[in-house]
Amino acid sequence: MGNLEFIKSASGTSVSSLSVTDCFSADYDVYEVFIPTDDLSSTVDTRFRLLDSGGSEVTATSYDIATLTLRAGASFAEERLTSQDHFRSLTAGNNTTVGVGILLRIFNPYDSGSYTFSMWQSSFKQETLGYLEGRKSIGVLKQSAQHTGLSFYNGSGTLDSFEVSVYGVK
Amino acid sequence: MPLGAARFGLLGGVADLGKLELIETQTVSATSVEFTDLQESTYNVHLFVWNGIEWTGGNDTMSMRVSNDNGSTYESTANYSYGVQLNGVSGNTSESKRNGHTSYDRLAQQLQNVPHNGYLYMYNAGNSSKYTFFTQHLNGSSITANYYDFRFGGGVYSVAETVNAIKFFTGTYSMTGTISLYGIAES
Repeated sequence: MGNLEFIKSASGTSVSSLSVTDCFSADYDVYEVFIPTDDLSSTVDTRFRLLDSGGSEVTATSYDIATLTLRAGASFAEERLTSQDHFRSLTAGNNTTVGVGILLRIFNPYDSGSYTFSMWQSSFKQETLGYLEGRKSIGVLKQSAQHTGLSFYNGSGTLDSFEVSVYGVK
Repeated sequence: MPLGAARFGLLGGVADLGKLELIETQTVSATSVEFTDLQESTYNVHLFVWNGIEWTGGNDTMSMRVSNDNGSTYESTANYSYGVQLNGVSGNTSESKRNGHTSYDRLAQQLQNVPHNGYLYMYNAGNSSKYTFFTQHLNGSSITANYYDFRFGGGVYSVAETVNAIKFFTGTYSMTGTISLYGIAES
């Protein structure tokens, strides 16, 4: 019977980045990551990277992303990026304390023989524009390597408040 | 076996590590269905799963409102916003959005006799200092162009208060099918 199994959670206030270490293992192929709080110190975007087997951030320019931005108050927009050194735009412009809703799925991060694929869906308040925005994104880290965790950070500034929980899918 | 049964150790003594916990499944046979036991003080993230929801009387839409008084009343001020992308089987796409509306409407827009399935995540319902956010992904069918589609996106009830009940409702016709509510636990 399939289910979610809680692995670990992490939170931080006024931090430059927040790492969730050793949350990936051989026990699961797929992970669901929930983020209910993501308050940025500036109107940039929330980004994340994988952690390698030694716990260090993977900063190689091997991340590709495609994103649809959904807006309650304006037309939607597409973004396609290749050869980045991070996954970007979990959110953008949410320097507000009202919370967010983010579901991030990670596939095969611990499998040294496959790339790590991801998809995420978010809902948040774009503080500058004053309306709801969301993201629907797909991404891949083109490294056949073992990854053990995640690191989240603000594109410019700090994470004023951030909460994340990681579950394995059985 | 319902996931919630496993929560209470009904798997022959096997330890349960599952954290997707069934709160309630409702079999629908009316124009509305209410969930008044969110257990929002226990769960920070909730999951609603639609299974075979359809209406036979005619084409219709499904909307949603939240309650802050355990379902005695449902909020109808213009505090609901969302952005949803529709993707039709013929390759056509379109945007569906509201910026300050009296309900989270167009959650589903369905042709008569076409069941829809999907899920809706809800975040921070029990946190009185945060808005309640949603993300969703459902299959559907266009009631204007007569094609099948899938739709995904997110929304918000933009009032910082505790949400403790949810109502899904149609515009006119009774619906059938089931909706299950799960809590995503951390301990």
